[in-house]
Amino acid sequence: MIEKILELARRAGASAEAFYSEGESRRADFDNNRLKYITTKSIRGVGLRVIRDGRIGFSSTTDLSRPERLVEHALESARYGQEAKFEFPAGVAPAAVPIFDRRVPDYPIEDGVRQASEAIEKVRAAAPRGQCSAEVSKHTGRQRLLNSAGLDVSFEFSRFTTGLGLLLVRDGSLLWTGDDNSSCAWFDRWDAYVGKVLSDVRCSEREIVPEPGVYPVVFTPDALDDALLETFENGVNGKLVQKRISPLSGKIGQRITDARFTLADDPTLDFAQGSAAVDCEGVAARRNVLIEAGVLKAFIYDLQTAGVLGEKSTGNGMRGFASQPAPSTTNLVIDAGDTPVERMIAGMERGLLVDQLIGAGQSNVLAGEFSVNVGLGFLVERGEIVARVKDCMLAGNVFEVFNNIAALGSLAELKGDLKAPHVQFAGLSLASG
Amino acid sequence: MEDIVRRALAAAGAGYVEIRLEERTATSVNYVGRELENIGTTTGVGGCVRALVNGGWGFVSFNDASQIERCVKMACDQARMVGRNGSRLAPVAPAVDSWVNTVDVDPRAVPLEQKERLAAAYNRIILSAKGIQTSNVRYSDYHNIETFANTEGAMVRQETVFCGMLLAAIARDEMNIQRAFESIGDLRGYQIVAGQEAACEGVAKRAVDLLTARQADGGKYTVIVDPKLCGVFVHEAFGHLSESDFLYENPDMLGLMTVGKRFGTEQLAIVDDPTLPGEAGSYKYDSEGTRGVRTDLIRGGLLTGHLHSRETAAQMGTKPTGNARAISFNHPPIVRMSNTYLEPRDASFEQMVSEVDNGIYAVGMLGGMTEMEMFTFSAGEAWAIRGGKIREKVRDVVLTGNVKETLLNIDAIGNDLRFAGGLGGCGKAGQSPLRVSTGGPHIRIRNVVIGGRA
Repeated sequence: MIEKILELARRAGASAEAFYSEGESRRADFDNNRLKYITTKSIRGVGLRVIRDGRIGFSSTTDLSRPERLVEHALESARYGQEAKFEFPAGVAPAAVPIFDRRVPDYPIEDGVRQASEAIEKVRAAAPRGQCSAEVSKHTGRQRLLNSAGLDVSFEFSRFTTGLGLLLVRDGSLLWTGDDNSSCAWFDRWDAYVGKVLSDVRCSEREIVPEPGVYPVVFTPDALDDALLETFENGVNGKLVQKRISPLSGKIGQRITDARFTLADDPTLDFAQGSAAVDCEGVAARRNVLIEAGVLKAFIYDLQTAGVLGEKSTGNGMRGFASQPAPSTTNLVIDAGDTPVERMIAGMERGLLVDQLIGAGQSNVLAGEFSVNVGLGFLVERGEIVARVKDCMLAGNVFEVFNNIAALGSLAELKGDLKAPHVQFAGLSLASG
Repeated sequence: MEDIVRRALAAAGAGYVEIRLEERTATSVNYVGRELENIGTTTGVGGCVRALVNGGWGFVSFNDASQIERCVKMACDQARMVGRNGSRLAPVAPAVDSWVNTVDVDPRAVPLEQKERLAAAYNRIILSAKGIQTSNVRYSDYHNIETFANTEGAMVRQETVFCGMLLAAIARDEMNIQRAFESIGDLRGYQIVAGQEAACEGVAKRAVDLLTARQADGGKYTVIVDPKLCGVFVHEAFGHLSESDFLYENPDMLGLMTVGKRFGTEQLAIVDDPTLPGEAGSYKYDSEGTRGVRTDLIRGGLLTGHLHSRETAAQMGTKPTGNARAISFNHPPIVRMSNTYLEPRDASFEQMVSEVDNGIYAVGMLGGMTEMEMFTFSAGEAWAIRGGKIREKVRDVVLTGNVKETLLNIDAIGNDLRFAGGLGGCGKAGQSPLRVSTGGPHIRIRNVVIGGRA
């Protein structure tokens, strides 16, 4: 079928690339303390990119019964498409990265249901009025990339995801907390989730609206992910560099953050959510250091963006079958520092620990501006967590605050596609009402 | 298509089974800066089976319709595995019907070349404005045929034609990068994307003006919001709390959202209505085959209703409202809004402004979201109000607060209701974007927290 699509495009005088993706996922969802749904999704589709008369065309379909129509759509697209600044690669030496764990397809969903139920019971034993939600999801997929230059690579991957959430209403006030993780390998983190949820419940027994002002603030890795890292992801994205809207363009080799800050994109981490041996257009995946000791080192590219800018693809051409490749990060890694998070908290006279930030991405992310509601955060006084903070917002500029790092956590754990420590910033503006 | 569905349903054993099949053809043209990043047509087919057996749900989606009978069996098996969960469906008369939304100019009749020329022309207008760094101009249309059938005898075919356009401009002065956008889109047809030259000039000017606007100071203000932002606020901050899937097993939440509770002054009314002709969130039947109806959520300042699926209606002992919607065959329906708006009253904009000593006039939006009773939404552009007059432009205005307090703090409601659809849409539980529209007039709210540097 895919060979036929490629052949049809070739006969029409185009060089071509077909990206086929299929996958089956099965998940169990708990809602309001009970198993609610078991879902199976069995999805497949193909994207066809062609280059004809020097121009790029693209189309996609999930209807595999009509390859002629797909080719026709892609060729029509190439009548208008932009000038190709690359050629389809003929071969690739894939990175050695494990992304398939047999335990994922072999794990019975019934066992997942049982483990999730037990976790919910533990939370409910300590917080009987709480409403728990949970998710167990297992996915296996196969991708095949085939092009008219002779490339033909296939990959099988697995993905395992679990999550536990709690909604607790107390005196008209809502606490919404939880934890989750995702990996290509099977894992069991239920006890850790229960521990995190119950700790948040305990720390939230008292609530206060903090005074507006400037506070030292410790961000958990989740909070960094919620509110701050998107600015770096955008800033190093070759596409935004090409469009001249990355605030980092022209700054390679310059110091842009505190010298303790090192950020890399790394698709070669074993079993990490964003890992891959080859990107989605046939370039070998590799680790790219983006910011090293505060100095901007590199941008990420796909083939076309690199071609336009006279650079080389960094193996970051990412896509689903229904879209053309675009530069995208895989797994982000922030190097750990030397301060245990306990010591950060113990050392604060008056400050905040924030874990969930709401409303990120609404202010001017490109420029690094942020203004976020503290969904879950705590006031620290004289080294102790004393209350949950409510009705307040943190604001600032990402580049300014990353030049204002007080401490980096000593532990960076992989969670999903992020491996980051806690980060303490010296002073952030807090508005409240 | 209908025969395949009937055969598959006949193969179902005990319990309730529904099937949705979907065919979609979508065309888009996307300029980012000078480059035409994407153009052309994509197609998709797929379907799903949802089964309710002994009170438990199973759901299976697929692209390969030849697998449909196997999927019916799988969905029933999964439902049995969930089992004894007490899920039930409120009765609805099984509909046998077909519906096509009427358009003035069908986008399928417009050649791709013409769509490309239109997008290119708009893109040139934006890029030619001084101070503009790049643009994002996206034309999008789709034609969707959805067939719904269930074991109760319903068989509904709905055909939807959507057409719209995104116009975005990004201005830059060194590290200062500002963006502005306009998004239009609904079920009226291709003609709505024509004649948007002034809108292109408008977004370019807005982005450039933001470069020199001063940052808003954080604090508490009286805020006047324009119809677009009013609609977003109503949808995000209040509308989502009306969705009963979130309420029905949750006595505490339901306590906050009890019918009869006061949410505002006598003047306040909020409505969800999928039957409005041509709006982005309109439909005849939802994804469970239930006919959509107008629902009063707030009337006379008092909470009067919730949005329901058949399941939530059964749980709460009321009638389904036809708000069970799925973004595609790949997802089960969940309770969603359609066209949600705040009803206009008689205050004029000038009068509202003249009574404000120190406030903010917030117009349009960059985004919005809500978590439980807390919301944040960011204005597309904003001005300071002092001494009853609109003064200088300010930027990075992010409004936040508690929805109930905020609705109670609305002290003036304007006379200028407008609806907004667009290419974006609503996101919930991993289903995004769902086509919806939001509407409202100018409103004035006391004591709103604006984030900013203290």
